[in-house]
Amino acid sequence: MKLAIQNVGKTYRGGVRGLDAFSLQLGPGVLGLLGPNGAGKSTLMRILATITRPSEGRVEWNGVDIVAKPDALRAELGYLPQDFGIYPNLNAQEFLEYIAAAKGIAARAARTRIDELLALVNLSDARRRPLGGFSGGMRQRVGIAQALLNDPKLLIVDEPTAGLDPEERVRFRNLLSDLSGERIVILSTHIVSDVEATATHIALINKGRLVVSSSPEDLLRTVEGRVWEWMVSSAELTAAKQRYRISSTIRRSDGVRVRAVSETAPSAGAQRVAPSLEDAYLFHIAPAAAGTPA
Amino acid sequence: MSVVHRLYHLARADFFERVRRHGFLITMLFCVYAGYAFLPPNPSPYATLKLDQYRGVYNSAWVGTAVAMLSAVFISMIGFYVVKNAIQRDRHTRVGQILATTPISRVQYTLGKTISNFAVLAAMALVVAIACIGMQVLRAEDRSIDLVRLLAPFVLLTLPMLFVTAALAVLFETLPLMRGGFGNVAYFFLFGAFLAAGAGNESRVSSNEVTGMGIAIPSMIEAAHAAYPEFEPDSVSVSMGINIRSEGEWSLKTFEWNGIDWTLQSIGWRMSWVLVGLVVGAAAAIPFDRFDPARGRGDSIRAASRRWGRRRRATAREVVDDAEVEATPSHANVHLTPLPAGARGIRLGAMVMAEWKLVVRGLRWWYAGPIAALIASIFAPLSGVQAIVLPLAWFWPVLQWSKLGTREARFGTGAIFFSTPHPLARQLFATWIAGVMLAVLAAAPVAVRFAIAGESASLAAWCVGAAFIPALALALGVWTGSGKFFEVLYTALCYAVVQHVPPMDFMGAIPEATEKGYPTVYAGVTLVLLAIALLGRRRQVRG
Repeated sequence: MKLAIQNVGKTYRGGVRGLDAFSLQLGPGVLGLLGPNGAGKSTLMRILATITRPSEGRVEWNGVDIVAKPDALRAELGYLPQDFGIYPNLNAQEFLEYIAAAKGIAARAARTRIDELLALVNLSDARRRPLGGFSGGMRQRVGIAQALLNDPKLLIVDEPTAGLDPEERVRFRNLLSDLSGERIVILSTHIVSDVEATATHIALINKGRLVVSSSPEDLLRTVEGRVWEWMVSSAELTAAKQRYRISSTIRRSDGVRVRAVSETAPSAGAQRVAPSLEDAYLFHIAPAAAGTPA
Repeated sequence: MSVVHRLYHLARADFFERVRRHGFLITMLFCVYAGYAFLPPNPSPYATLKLDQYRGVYNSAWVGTAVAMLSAVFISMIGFYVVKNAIQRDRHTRVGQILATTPISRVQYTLGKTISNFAVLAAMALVVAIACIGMQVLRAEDRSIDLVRLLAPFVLLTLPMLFVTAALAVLFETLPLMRGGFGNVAYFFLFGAFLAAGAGNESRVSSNEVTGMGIAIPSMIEAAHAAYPEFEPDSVSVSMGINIRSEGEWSLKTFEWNGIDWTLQSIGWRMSWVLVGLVVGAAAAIPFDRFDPARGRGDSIRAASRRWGRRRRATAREVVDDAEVEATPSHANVHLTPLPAGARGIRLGAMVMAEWKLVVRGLRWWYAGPIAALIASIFAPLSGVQAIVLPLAWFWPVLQWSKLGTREARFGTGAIFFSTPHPLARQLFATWIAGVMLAVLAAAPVAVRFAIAGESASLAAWCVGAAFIPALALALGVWTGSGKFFEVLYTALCYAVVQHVPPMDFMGAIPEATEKGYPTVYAGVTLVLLAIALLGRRRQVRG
């Protein structure tokens, strides 16, 4: 099972580059695709989901060019778009039955699968309720269920936890981890903690280009020894923000505890701390502030 | 911020949003063509404005007035559907949610939309007006251009009617019943009935009729009578529209007409229609839901939820409160059974049934139509079944057909469906077959009647009709993303069939149309439409 993205680029009308010379090879596991808003994540997702054709480059699924032969992938694809619609007058059961038919799943197998999926996304009790009356989180769970209907070998989920409450979010993360054994899961998000919990591989994307592709451990190693915490007064905070790539600030009674990524110690009292993925993300994606010694 | 300032910006933003779309350019090109077509040469296979066998010389007065009245009618007819989406767009783009939180009042909002609609319609009229200046020169019956005589009718005849149309479009959008396909079809018939009622009034006495005919026609009749003593003013038949001569060409006698003598009274009459438009536009604020989902469309969802709730109670299961359903996730360890080998495939039949379920979903009272068609087909004479029952039976499902090919755009499900296997051949074909099945359900008794009577040609034409209708719906739906165009075009087609216009008979309702081989033409058109639908869907699927 292999997904090969080779020099893929996408130019939109007006010459706007959505993706630029993007290359990546993927095998089974969860790829966490991280990047800021407008980085090109959704463009890449749509290309991989055969919705959008790239302007250049190739995407191969098990050696087959999916731009030329999209149906080679579609039978094994599960896709949860970032922004998707539902038919408001259908209930969850009917909607999933309809999509199962669209995916060419045999009726009996579909019925079993729908029952299990509705239980999985905790919508069994609401299965006969019209989708138009669902909350955003419930719709998102219907979206997750439809993506899993055909037992996909490639599962692409674009901002899947948007709108989910914390408990459902944890459930979904666990689900992704469980699913990743024999399939490729691509999780696109800008929520670092979602990736931290599930990804076996991470790709950072910015301005349409691949910035880093590595395991979470290797990514953390890139900022090893570069993450610092120290105390500043409230008055000094603004200056610190201008000078360093700050990943977090916590107000305390004696001032503000600042966490930042820097090559050298920001102050005499600064302590090196263990890096998190958020620090690594900031290190690779956020532009260096003026005067940052990074 | 003053009310005028607020209205201006509301209308301005809406106007720019519309005119910057590619569709608007196509509309403008259509207007240029209309300016050309409204002034046919003499002789010509068709006539536009004529008084029996007479018409005015194409001078600035006649050209301006005739085209202004024709524009008023045609732009009101077609333009209504062009602009009847101003509120829908705010709903769809969710800009309405933002506007609803601003201090803008409901009346200001509906009046702003009325003005914006009017600006679009006026832009269409302006293009026609410019085109007709060129046409006067081209036709060369009178080359002297008098801009006042030429353009004043557009300002005083066309624009007031367009203002009323603009306001009506807003009113239709705020009325839940008129917002969708039913409103589109209803406007077609209301407009036709209104014109038919007004057409009887163009006597020699001036009247304040919305198209302006009541002001212009009496003086035209006088001029014709002065030029031709044999002209009978009391029994004159005024024809305004596209009047195609069944055989040969219209060769009309021409007379000099120097235009409308505008008086304060006639100008006041026209301005009164602007006032009517303002009242209608303001009245639209009463049913306007201000984008509150708890009103309007939300009602139907709540009603559906109530039905769901009743069903749940009836099954005596444990009643779970909606909030509770959402707040208490089950932690049961759910096992996902892998799909067995062979569970995935093409399965066109399953897809057709899934599409069919969507087509007939929620239809309850609708079945009264096919039942009525069944009864009428049994008891009515064959000629009546063919000429009346069949067109009515196939007009009945217009709102179901109009949804074909549009759901992905309307509900934003394209990303999900276009990433499933074979979205082109399988899904689109299944949608079309479901549409054909609906045609069969609606008018099967008519086909049986044809078969019993041995009317094999009519039966074949019926089969073509059953294939043609969903193909037309699908092609228009896929390319426009809206059912509106199909609803209007199909209504007009059915109307033409009932009015016994053989070239428009796509269903086998007119025996001479069948004899002339029109079913073969429509069979070819069906294939072309399916190809067009396929191309459109291919374009959607490939992003």
